[in-house]
Amino acid sequence: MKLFLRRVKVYIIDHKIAVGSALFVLVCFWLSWWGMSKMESFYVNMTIATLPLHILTWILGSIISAFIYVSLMFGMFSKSNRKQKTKSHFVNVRFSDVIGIDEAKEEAWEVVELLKDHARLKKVGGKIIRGLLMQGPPGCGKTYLAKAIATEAGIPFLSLAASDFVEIFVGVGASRVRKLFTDARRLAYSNGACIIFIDELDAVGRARSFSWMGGQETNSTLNALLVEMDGLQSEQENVVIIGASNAPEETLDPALLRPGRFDRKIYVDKPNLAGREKVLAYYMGKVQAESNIDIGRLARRTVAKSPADLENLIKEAALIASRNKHEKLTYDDLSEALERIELGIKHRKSMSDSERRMTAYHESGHLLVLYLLHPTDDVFKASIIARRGTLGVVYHMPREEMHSHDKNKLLADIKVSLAGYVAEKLVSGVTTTGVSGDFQNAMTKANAMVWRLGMGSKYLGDWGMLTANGSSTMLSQQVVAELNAETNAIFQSCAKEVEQLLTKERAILDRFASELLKKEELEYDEIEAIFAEHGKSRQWPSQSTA
Amino acid sequence: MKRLTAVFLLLFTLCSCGPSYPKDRLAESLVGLCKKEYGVEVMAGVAGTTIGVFVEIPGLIAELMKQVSSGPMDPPPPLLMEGVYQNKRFDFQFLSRGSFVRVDKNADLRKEERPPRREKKAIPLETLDHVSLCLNRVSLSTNARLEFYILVARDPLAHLDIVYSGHLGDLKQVQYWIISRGELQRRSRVSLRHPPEEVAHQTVREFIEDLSQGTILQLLSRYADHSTRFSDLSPKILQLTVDLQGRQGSLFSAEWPSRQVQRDRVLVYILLSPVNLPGALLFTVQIREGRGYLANIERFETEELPAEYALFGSPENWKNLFFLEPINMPGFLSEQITKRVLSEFRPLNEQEPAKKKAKSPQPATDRDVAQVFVETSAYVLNSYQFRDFDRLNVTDAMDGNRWSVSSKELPLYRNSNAPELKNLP
Repeated sequence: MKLFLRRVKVYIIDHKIAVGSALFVLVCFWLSWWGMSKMESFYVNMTIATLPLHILTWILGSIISAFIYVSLMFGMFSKSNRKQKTKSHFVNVRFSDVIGIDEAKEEAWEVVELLKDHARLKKVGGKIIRGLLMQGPPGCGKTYLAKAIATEAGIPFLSLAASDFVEIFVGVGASRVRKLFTDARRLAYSNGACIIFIDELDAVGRARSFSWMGGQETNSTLNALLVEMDGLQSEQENVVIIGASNAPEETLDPALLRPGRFDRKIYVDKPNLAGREKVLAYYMGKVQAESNIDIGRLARRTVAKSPADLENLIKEAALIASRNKHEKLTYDDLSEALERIELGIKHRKSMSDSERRMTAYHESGHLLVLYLLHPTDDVFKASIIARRGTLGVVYHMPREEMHSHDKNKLLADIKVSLAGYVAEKLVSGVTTTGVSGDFQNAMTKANAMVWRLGMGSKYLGDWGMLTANGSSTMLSQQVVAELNAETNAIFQSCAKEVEQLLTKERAILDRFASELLKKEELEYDEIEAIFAEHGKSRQWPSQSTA
Repeated sequence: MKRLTAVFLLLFTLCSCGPSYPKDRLAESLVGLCKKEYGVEVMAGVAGTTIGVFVEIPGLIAELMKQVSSGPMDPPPPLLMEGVYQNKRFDFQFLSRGSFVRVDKNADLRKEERPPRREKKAIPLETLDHVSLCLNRVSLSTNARLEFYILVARDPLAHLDIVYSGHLGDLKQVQYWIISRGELQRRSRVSLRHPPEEVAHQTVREFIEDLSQGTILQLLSRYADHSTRFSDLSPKILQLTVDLQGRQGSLFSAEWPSRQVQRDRVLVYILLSPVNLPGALLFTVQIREGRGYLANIERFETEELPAEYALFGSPENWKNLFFLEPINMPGFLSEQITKRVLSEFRPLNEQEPAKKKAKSPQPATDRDVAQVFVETSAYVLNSYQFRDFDRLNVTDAMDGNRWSVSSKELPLYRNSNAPELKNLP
C-alpha cells in the first residue's frame, strides 16, 4: 500500500500538468453538471442544444483573439514572411551560369550528382550528405551556387536568411526552424529531396554562449537546428541543408560543423585572374560594349574583386556611359567606374600653389618608388585631385592575386609609403601632415615584420601574442626595446634607400610633379610613356605589356 | 480522459431527460412557483393544449395606461376586420370607413416620440412580468402537450381584464434566437375586456333592482337578448316577482358567487335566505359585446345545486376558479392575421404636413387590403406550417368585392413579387 501511494505521488509529480489539467477539467465538468441540474429542463435542453454553437463561437473568438495577439506581439510566431518555398524550375540558375568559381563548382557538382542519384547511393548503403557549408567573402556567388545546385538537381528549394529565425522571444526561432524542416520534409517526401538554403548562417550558427546574460533565443534556435539536422528524428527524408556564411569557420558552433550536419564545406573564394576575365566577359555580354575593350587588362585592375563587385562595376560603367551619351560602353567608362568605386568621387578643393606643388611631389614620390622598387604592384593612375579626404592618390594594384607576401614585398610597401615623406623633405626641406596615413601603413607593416613575422634580424617568432590588451607585461623591457629598435631600423633603412633613389632619379621626380601640376591626373599609359622616355620602362616576367 | 468526458456528457444528457414540471401537477407547479419565487397568488389551469393563469393585480391598468400615454398613440385605423376558420376555409372580412393608407415601416419614430425609459418598473408591472416569467418557465419545462398559453391579469380597481395569449412554439423560437422579440409581440395577442363575472353580476343586480319597477315585457326587452327566450323567461320572472314580494333589496346584503362556465356564459348564484325563503336562485347570463343578457333563471328549493350543475362545483368554491377557454390553432392564426393586417394601415389625415422628399401617401384601395390579407396569411400560415385549409377568402363588406386564393396558390404570395389578386365575379 505504501509503495502504491509512493507510485501515485511520483506519478503526480511527473505528470503534474496533466494531472492538474485533468482536475481542472473535472471541477469544470462538476460545476457545469451541478449548475445544469439546478436549471429547468427547457433551459438544460436549450443549453445542450446551443452548446455546439457556443463552443464554435468560443473557438472562433479564441482564434481571432489569438490571431490578433500573435500578429501584434510575435509577428505571426513561427511564420516568416520572408520565407519562400520555391520549386527548382522557378530558381532557373544553371551551373553554366556560375562563372569564375570553378573549384567550388566542381565540389558542388558532386553534391548535385549525389542528390540526383540518391537511390543508387542508398542501394550501396551510403547516406546522402546532410549539409553543405559554403564559406567565403560576400558577393562571391554562394547563393547563386546554391540555386544552381537546386536547379541541376531538379528538387524544391527553400531559401531563408538565418536572421529570419531570430526573434526577441525565446522559442520563436526554434519553432520557425521546426516549421521549416517540417515543410522541407514534406516537399522531400513528395519530390524525392529538398534543399534548404540558409543564408548568413552565422546569425544563428555562432558558437553557443552559456551565460546568464542572455542569448537563450539564439541557443534554442541553434539547438533546434542541430536536432533537425541530425537528431532523433522519426522521419528521415532527403533534406540537404546548404548554409552560407561570411564569418570565419571558427566562429561557428563546433556541433554544427561536425560530420553528419555540415559534413561538406566549400570555400567560395574571390575569382582569380582567369575567373575575373570570365565574369567580366559574362557581364559585358549583357550590355552594349565596344568590342576593343581589353578584358584582360580590366581583370588585372580588379584584383580581389568579387563577382558581385564586377557586376556592380559594369552597372556603374553603364550609368556613366549613359551620362556621357555613349552608345556603347567604353574602356574609359569602365575605368571611371572603377576609380569611382575604388577611390571615391572627385571633389576639387581650392589649394594654394605651394600646397599643390607639395602634393604633386608627394604623389610623385610614391609613384616613382612604386614603379621602380615594388616587386608586385602595377601603377594605374596618379592624381592630385582630392578624393575621400585625401589630397592625392597613386592607384596601384598587384598584377596577380597575392595569397602571401614576402619580406621584399613588405619592405617595398614600407618604402612606397615613406616615399611621399622623403619626396616632400627632398624638395622643400619640410614635411606636411599628409604623411600621417603613410606612416601608419608603414609602421604597421614594419611592426608586424619584427613582432609577428620573424623578419627582423635578431628575434624570431610571434612576440605579439605575448602582449595582452596592448601591454607587454609578459615581455621584458629589454626585449620590447630591442624589438622596437629593430622596427625603427627597418624604418630608417627604408627611408634611407628611398632618399637615395629619389635623389638619384630627381629628374623623373620633377617631371612627374610638373606633369601632375599641369594635368592633375596621369593615366597608366602616360606614366609608362614617361618612364620609357627616361629609359626606366619595367618588364614583368609573365607580361610583356600591360 | 476520453472516458471521463463521455461520462460527463452522459450526465449532462441525463440532466435534461426529466421534465422539471410533470404534466400531472402542472397547475399546482405554476401556482407554487409564483408563490414561492415572487410571493404572488395566482390561479392556474390547463384546458386541452392551453395553459392559463389568472392573477389579480390592482393598479395594473393605470400603470399600463401611463406607459401607453407616454408614447405616441395613433387612432385606430378606420377598418373593421374579422377572421374566421370553418370548413377548412379561412374567411376574412373587412369594412372600410373613410380613407386610410399603408403604414410606412421605414419611418422611424422621432426621438422625442419614443417612450422614456423608466428607472424601475412599477410594482404592478413587475408582478405581471413575474407571473409571465413563471408561466413561460413552467409551460416550456413540462412534458404536457401544450401549444398555447393565456395570462389573464385582472385589475379590480379598473374593473378590467387584460388577456395575453400566444403560441408556446413562438416562445421557444425567441429563446433559440430564431425570431426576434418584436416578431413575438406581433405573433402574440393582447386584449382588454370587462371581467365577465362583473358584467354578469351587474346585469343580475340591475335586473333585481328593476324587478318591481317595470313590466315583464320591459324587463324582457332590457335583459333578454333574443325574443326566442321571452317565452322561457316570462314565467320565471313572474314567479320571481311573486316570490320576492318587493323584498329583493335584502338580497344585496349577501355575497353572490359567480362563475364563468363558457366563453359567453356566466352563472350567478344567489341565496334566498336574506328574504326568508328557502333555496337559491341561479342566473345564467350571456355576455355579448361587453354587455350581459339573461339566458336563464332557475329557482332551487335547497341551497345545494342540483345534480346537472354538479360539474360546476359548489358555489362556495367558485371564487377560487377561473374559466380557461382552450385556444385552437386556426382561431389563433385567424386572429393573428387580422391583427397584423390591421397594423398595416392607418387613417389618412388630410391636414398631415408632407415630409420633405417624401411622396404624399396614396389612399389604399380595397384590393390593397385584400392583397395584404393574402400576403400576411401566406407568411403566417407558413410560419406555423399550417396546411389544413383549402381556400382563403377575403371580402370587402362595403361593396361586396371578393377575392379567393387556394391553399396551393398561397405560397406564391410569400415572394416579394407576389402575383396580383383578381376579383371574383
